[in-house]
Amino acid sequence: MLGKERRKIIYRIVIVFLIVFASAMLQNGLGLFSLFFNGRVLFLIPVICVSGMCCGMGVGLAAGVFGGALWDLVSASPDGILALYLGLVGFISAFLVKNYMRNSLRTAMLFSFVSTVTFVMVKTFSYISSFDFSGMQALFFRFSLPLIFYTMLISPLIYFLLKKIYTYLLYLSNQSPNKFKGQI
Amino acid sequence: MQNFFKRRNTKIFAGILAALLLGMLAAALSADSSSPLTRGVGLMFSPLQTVSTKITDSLRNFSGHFVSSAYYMEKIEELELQIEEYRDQLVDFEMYKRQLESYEGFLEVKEANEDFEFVPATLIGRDSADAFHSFMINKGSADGVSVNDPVIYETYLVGVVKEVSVTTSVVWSILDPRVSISAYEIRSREDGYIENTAEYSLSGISTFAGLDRGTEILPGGIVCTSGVGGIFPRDLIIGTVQEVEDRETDISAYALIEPGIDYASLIDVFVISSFLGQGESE
Repeated sequence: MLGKERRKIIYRIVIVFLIVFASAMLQNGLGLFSLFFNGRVLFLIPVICVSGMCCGMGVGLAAGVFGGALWDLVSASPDGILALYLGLVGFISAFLVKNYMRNSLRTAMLFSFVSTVTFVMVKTFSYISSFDFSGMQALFFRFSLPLIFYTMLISPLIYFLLKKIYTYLLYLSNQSPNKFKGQI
Repeated sequence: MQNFFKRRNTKIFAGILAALLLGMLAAALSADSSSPLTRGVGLMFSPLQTVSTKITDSLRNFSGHFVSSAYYMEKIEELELQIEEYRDQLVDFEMYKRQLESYEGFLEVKEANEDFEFVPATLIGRDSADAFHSFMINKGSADGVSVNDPVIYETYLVGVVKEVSVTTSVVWSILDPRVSISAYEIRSREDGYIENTAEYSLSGISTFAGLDRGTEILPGGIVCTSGVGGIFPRDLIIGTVQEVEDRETDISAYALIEPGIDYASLIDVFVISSFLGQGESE
């Protein structure tokens, strides 16, 4: 029989996973988020960053792997690569916030920006054998740049929303939100 | 008794009675069967009769608001439920109509190619990070789908299956630069291949390359799969020629093709799981 505290932790982890699942549906579902100005929004990257920052290394890693696995289902990239990437993003975000950085909007924006740009650049250059230079230029300016822009635009909203949710979860379980620099 | 008949009132009563009887006799003998008395009374009192009827009607309706509101509310609820049911039926009808239209297109393909085996599928996801319209369908290896199976919509080629799991598959569209298709133009019978570039693919245009400089292909021509390579069966429509241009780097030419389908609105597709010549390179 699980102890009360352990059960609370499991409930919180389940909620984190549900949030990641909802983000994956928003990002990759049909018609749920319109395409505008040739750009889309990568919800999963800021969600994993913030979840790692607020929930710790273990949860960050697990949520990243879960989110990446959901993304791998629809992606034309090699299977498992996105699970690995988002798992690393979640883990590194949590590690840096726990040891070196503050859990703040600026940190969340920095993590989201670096993660999104890294992902987009790798994806663009992965086509290098198929494209000529003008093709890669077109891909970067007409698709990748709007993708980065819109993802960064939505990141503050995701940060404030998720921080509120995770702080409330901690409050419900009567633990101090400042116990581990804002981590569950 | 004699005093009764002599009384004034009795005489007045008898006079009125006689007048009425005479009126009745006159009505019976007249053409319109109405007595002068009736006509006179009708002339004077019929407007009042009309007003009285109108007042009575409005009073009846007015009282209905207080007396029958429960009845009307129940009726309204019943009708609203009926409308909801009809609306649902209409939605189902539109869905079945759309499916029927797409199946009619597929039937045309099936009748022309009896060796094709189809697996119907529905799009259930699109990768937001992919610029070339790759998507996920709800059929996988358990349904007979395998890697390199062509995916079609009616007579149009949509893409090719590139990743397969048990219940889902990922399809690369024909606009993806990693997809190459051997093709020909149906009027001039010239052979070539579909070779996509990012620049054109982002605009939804495919490139039909490998043509001679003096090509006879004209705008409006239709490009189909040629069946070479064993991945795509022959005569699936890829798109329509928009423009023919000479390549700057060599002596060949290429045509810009607009695919025949709109990826943004694509929902139902068919996977060709088997066809004659599949996997054979010519």
